[in-house]
Amino acid sequence: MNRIELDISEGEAPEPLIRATEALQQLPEDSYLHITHRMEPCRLYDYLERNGFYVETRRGESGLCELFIGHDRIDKVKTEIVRLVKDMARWD
Amino acid sequence: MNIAFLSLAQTPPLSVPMRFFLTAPLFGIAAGLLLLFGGDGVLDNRWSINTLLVVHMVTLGVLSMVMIGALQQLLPVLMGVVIPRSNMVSRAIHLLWSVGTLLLLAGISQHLPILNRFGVGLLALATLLFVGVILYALARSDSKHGTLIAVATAVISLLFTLLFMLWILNSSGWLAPVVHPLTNLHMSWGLLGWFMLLLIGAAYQVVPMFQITPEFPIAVRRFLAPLIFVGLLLWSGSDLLQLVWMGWVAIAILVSALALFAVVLLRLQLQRKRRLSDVTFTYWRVAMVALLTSTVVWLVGYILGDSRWMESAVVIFLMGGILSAVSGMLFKIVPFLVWLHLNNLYQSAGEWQGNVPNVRQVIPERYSRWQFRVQMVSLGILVVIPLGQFVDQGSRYLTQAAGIAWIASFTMLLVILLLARSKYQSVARALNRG
Repeated sequence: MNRIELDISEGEAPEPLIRATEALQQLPEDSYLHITHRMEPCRLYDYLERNGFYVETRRGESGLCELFIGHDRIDKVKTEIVRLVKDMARWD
Repeated sequence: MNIAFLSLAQTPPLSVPMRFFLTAPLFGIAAGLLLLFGGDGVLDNRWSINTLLVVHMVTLGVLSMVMIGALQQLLPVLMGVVIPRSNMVSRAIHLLWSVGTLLLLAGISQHLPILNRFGVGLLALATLLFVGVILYALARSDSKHGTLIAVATAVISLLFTLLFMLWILNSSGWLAPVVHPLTNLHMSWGLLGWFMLLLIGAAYQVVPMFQITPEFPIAVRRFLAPLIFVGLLLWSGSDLLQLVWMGWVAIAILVSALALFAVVLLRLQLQRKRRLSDVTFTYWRVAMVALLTSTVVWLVGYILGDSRWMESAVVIFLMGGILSAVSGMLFKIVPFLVWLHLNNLYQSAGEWQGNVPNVRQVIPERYSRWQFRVQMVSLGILVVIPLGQFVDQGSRYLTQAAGIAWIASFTMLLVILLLARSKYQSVARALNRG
């Protein structure tokens, strides 16, 4: 399973939103996207829900917001994401 | 794949906030004209008619106008909070608020209780509609973000502000200006509750988004707004029940909470991820320094029992703190909303990105930079007006100079906002033709 990294922590709105959605449009089914951002990208959740993505949001060790996103219909990607985040701190 | 960022069902049209944003500078220009032509002592005495007019032109006509408009768009766009029948509600609130403000201003200037009654009646209807819709929408939201708590306490504070205004006018035969013991409470709920709490709630969202800073600490987001609200309740209790100790507790809470907010925000600005500085960044920095200055000046005035210090503190708080932050916010949220709505238009037409101007093209930095400079000149003049009393005709000339600077800065703001709207309309029209 591939992990695709995307750091949008230094972009001014709306750049992070654009870069995140562009990456999601090209996300292969057997991969998940790991996004790092300085804040919770509230606007992205609506987009994820409407486009069939599964997401987990956690606080990384550096204090940044980390999102793990995969296609909702692919069970093995979801299982992998749940495994990855199980010991991480909740974002809020 | 649906790639629109906003679901159309929960996105109010751009006209919802823009009608408020475009009306606000008109009241600012009117206030500038009053400073210029209002004769001696426009700002000399808080109980004078002209002072009362200028204060309400700024608070009702400029600041509340922008904040009511911004909230109706930012809650759905940033927080996913759905406002029912947004366009119709926005039109009704805008009409009631604008006409109510005009009637109240006319009533104050002409000493006509009937106009004050109608004006306050319309403002009360607008407030009840606005607060009702916002609280209803917040109650249905799943979000637990600190912004929602701050917005809820802010709109409840607006109700208290209205309530004290009704109380004051009702007990004074609907005549204004009136020297009334409840004026301080009306002012405190308006300035520290409605304006400050809303600014805090907006800051939690827009500062990290647009100034590339880390988020506000969780403890600040959770507890600061409720703390200020409790401080205001204690302040009211101390005033109504004549309990001095309670007043000091309230002052300690309010002063430290405001100072904490300003210090945390200035610290976040120092921690920003990119060392770029733009007008919004500078406006917010000025706002926070003004906020800190106003708390110190107010505290000195309170301890000395000198109302002139406290009046200066209010001027610095309003024009240096709230107006600066609101102006800085407009220069970011308007381009962002224009971009977002155009983007959605393109995507609903089946195109990706299309010919959407980027946010820096919607309001070029050099325009907002010039507006900032002129607004800072007006702030500088306002702050030194009290010194004018030591020179023959000094206060008069300084007040007129401030009036000219206000007219210039609000005219520039209006032109910049009109240009942004026309950019939106021209791209949207081109898309419809295509």
